[in-house]
Amino acid sequence: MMDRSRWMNIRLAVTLVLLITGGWVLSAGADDDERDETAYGREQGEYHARGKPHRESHEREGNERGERRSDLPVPDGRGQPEFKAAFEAWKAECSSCHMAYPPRLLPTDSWRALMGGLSDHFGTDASLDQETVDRILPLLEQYAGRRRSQAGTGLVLRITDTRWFRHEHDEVGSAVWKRPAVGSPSNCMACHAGAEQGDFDEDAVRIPR
Amino acid sequence: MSYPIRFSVAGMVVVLAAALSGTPSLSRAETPSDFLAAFEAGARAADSGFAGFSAARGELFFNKTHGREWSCSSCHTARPVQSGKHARTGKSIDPLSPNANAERFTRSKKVEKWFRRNCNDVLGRECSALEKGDVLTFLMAVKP
Repeated sequence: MMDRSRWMNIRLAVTLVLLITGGWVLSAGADDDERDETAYGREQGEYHARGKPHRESHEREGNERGERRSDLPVPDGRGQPEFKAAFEAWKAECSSCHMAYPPRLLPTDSWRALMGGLSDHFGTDASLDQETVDRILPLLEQYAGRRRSQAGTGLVLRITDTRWFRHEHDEVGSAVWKRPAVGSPSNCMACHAGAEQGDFDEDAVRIPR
Repeated sequence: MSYPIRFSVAGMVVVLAAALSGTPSLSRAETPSDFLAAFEAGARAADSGFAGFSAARGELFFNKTHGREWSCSSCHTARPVQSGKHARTGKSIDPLSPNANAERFTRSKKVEKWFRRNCNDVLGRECSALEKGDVLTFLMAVKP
């Protein structure tokens, strides 16, 4: 009787161990899949890796096509002075002349090229001191877009030149872009009211007359 | 009893270190007049015959183009106590005159950054101390 119950206990323990390791292996596999879909080379979480307080993953589901985005989180005031300084510099500097375009709208290479050429930023001098560039660029790199459709042919500097942007807006006629309330395709907020907060939800699009 | 003394010595060391390192500490408050004085020193150094800034000259400089597409007023309007609008993007720009916007000409880093960028866009070169002083004199004279 004693032997039998001991044997049952061992079998239970082995089953539990198998279940746990099996689940872990499966979930690790799922992680890899996700990474492959969204990978542009760099992984998320650099600020966490440096021993900063843990934050939740900022990946969230994108649109209904199942694309995933890495959203730039707003600092919540819990630690992370480095991230907060970078975020504030990005917000202040990149929205002086236009809205601060969310980093996920361009791939890493594009952000590097843009930040390296600010003295001729689409024909305007938007130069920054090196200290500020060094503060902002890592943030852009970390939260840059990772979908391959973000790229165009070769290096893309304009968000509106990415394959992804053209595809998403292919039903918008040229006359719509020229409406006074729109002006140009770079004026996200004309139709996406929440653009500055990173909200481009298709259901919330209102195209002005 | 010795604590307060030790604290004050430590405090003095911190203050002294901050002052000597030359890094602008938390809020090194500057005023438009401080910038005017610095431009005046620059203008005098460039030309010993410098005879003061002129609001009228500054206004003229502000409103005309300098061989390129834009003038200062293209974005800041000819009455810079009003809000302006970026000539390319249309984004709203707060008034440039300190008479209408108390934040203007209070931080040297910001003043340097925008003179560098905008003089390059409008003139294709840096502005002289005389030009900056004239423009600031105009901006300080224009009434809301």
